[in-house]
Amino acid sequence: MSDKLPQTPHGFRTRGALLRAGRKVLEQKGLHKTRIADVAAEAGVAVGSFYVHFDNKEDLFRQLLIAVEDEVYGELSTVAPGTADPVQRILETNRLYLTAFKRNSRFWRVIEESVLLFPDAPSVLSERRVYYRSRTERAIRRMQQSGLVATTIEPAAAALILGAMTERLAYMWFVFDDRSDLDDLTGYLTRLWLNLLGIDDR
Amino acid sequence: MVPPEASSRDLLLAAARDVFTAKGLHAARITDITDGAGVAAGSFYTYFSSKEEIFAAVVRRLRTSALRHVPTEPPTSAAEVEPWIHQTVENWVSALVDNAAQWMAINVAALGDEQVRDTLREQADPFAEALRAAFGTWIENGWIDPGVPCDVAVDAVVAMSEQAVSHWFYLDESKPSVEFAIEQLTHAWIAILRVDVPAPEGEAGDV
Repeated sequence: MSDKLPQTPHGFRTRGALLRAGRKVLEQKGLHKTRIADVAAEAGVAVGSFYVHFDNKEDLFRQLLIAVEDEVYGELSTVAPGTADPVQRILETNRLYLTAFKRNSRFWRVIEESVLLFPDAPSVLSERRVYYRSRTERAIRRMQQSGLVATTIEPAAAALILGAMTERLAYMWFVFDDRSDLDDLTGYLTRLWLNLLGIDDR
Repeated sequence: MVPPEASSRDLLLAAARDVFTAKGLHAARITDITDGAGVAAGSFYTYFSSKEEIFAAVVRRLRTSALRHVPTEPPTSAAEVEPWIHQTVENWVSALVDNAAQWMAINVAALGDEQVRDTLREQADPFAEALRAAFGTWIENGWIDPGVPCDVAVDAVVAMSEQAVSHWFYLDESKPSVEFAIEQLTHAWIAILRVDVPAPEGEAGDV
């Protein structure tokens, strides 16, 4: 893992250019086929400059992942707990997630490829997935306290299942397919969440 | 297992499946496949024009064989829906766990190559089609009420099951027993589909 943060404004610019170039090349070629020489050329720097900022291809990828995920999960944190009707909150959270996922779908494709290729590598993705899952678990417990969700539902297991379904549906809809009916999809996904939680809002 | 009277084509397909699972589509070489099949290198081109083509054929076979997970007898009443779901989930999830490495290789290949992705998307998926037919009938009969279109309900149960199995058994996040996974997913399918079980016999319905 790289802890080589730049010390100069020039260094920051170069690192930024390499990250942008890395994302572009990774999205075009996938993780397997991306070469460091391609990234450096796209950024307009020497290969040696790459290694000033990143240990290797996987390190570049990891830094990119953090940046993209911050964008997706950062938006989710704006939907504060306790400030809105829980069903409405589920709807808004799903809308934000799907919108951000679709916007970054080409990059998520590369992420998934890397996760499958290197399942044993410690992954920022799985750390964030655990965070998102525990957020969901807390939300379920709150809804149980208010009587909206039955206490027969086990929050941790339900959060895992909900997360798995949501993540894979997003891949099916935006990576393997290319759907644009976000309003409909948000509605469907929310309905599926309510079904899984046993919430009947009809 | 490949039967003793298997054709060269069957031998190639069986070998290809092993090679793609071990190496992935990207790193696989046609000579790996013909070596594994024990046939002459040139004979590959009698049946297939590229490794992408044999890859698509391997996937088509796997998808078709998934159809055997669906019970041959459809439910004849609302009360038979849950046992049907349980049987399907048990058959399919067991196979997903056993074939996890193969499905991972297929997913990686699709993710890394747009042509592969397009080919697989256009290819038939008999298992999903069987689920669509079943769910469609059940919705008409009033046995389930997912509140989403039939194909979305199928996408949802398939997505949920594949990804949960991937987390539990491949990404090594928790590794529960297969029985636990089957039970969790069966309950989840039933919840997603909103399966209504009719009132037991003998309860008089006041008009």
